[in-house]
Amino acid sequence: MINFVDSLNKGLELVNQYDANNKEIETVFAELNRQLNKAYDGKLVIELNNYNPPNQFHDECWDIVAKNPISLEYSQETYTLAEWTQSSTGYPCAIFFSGQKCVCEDKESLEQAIAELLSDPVVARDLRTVINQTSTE
Amino acid sequence: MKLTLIWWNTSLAPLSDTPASDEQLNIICRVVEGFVNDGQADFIALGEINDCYFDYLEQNTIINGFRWFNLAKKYSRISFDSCVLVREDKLQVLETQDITVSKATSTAKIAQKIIVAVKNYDKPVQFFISHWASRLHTENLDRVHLGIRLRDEVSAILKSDDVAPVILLGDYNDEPFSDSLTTGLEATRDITRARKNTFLLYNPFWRHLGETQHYQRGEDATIKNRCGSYYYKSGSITRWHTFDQMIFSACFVGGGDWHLNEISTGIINTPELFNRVMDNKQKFDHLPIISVLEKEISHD
Repeated sequence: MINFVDSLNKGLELVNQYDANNKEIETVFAELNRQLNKAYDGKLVIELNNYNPPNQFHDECWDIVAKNPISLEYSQETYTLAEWTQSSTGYPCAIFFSGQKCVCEDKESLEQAIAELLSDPVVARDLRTVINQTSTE
Repeated sequence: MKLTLIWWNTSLAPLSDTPASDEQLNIICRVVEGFVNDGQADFIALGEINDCYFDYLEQNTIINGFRWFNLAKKYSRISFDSCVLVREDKLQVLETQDITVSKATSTAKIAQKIIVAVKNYDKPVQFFISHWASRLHTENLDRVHLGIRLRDEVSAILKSDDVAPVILLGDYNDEPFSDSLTTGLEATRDITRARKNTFLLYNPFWRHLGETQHYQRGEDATIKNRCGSYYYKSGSITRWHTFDQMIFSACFVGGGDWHLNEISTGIINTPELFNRVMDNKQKFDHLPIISVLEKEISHD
């Protein structure tokens, strides 16, 4: 006879694992934005963004976007920097940008992948545009 | 319609301190010409290429009707080292993507994904070209993990179309029976299983594991025969390994319009290439591999 409670416990363990890993991923973005806030006077925020899938056959869609929250005119406008996917246990997560897909198994590798994203010249050009947005534009 | 695919690790070792000689590069040019003129190749993937070698090969290989794509790319912690040539009147490269996996401070190459449109065929064919690091250099990422992550890429495609055309090829630095390719990638030698369970991949290179010639009493013991695709002269148990492979989704073994021609699939073993691999003075240590795919042309 199958032990259904054991099966549910395994599922719940995976849910807990996802919650813990997701919280860790949130701390990476929190630290990223803490540093950006200090360096650019609050003109640049980078975050995960959930958007509507193109059709009913697609899973939930996420990307990494940048915005300038203090620009009154542009605070609702976001620039997409990369696509984002995440497994049901939190890791691996993956960042797609400039023809590259970086699959990250843990916090340290995610930090490194975000660093590579920021140092990509195509991405950096968009970030410069965001930082330079002012309400007089 | 027929498609002939070739993969060859050219042994140019782009990260080596000693650059390849013009003589070695010219040999590669002649071999690629042979792939096209004698082998009727339509898709050729070459490994261990950098920008310099790519420019030389593109300029000095005398073939017509092919478009060259330099996929060699250096990232902060990893370098990809392939290039691809496609026959323009049959194939069009639509998109490429470099896929890596990282854990802590280790990064490994999974594959380069190349999406190709094929003339008179409505689905794009997705190729994954891999050149995995040797077992000495995978550190925190175990080998099975490389297979699992490559499998994730394939599964994402097969999830929406379980008979999508997916072809994996390259130098895996692992044999067909390695856990990375069996448990990790879910590539099987069992074609009946692969035809029934369309999520499995079929690896025809299980046929090319051992000696090509039977032992015969009285045969000269110094005669060397091919026993794999990669030759390492200092191997204590075996000098040969079948590291170079092509692996196919169900589309090519009864699930779709294309059919793998296994008789024409295997390791290219011309006397000239074999002698170069056996010659200690030459740097070549891989033989090329070939596969042929056939499709009936619809007259609708």
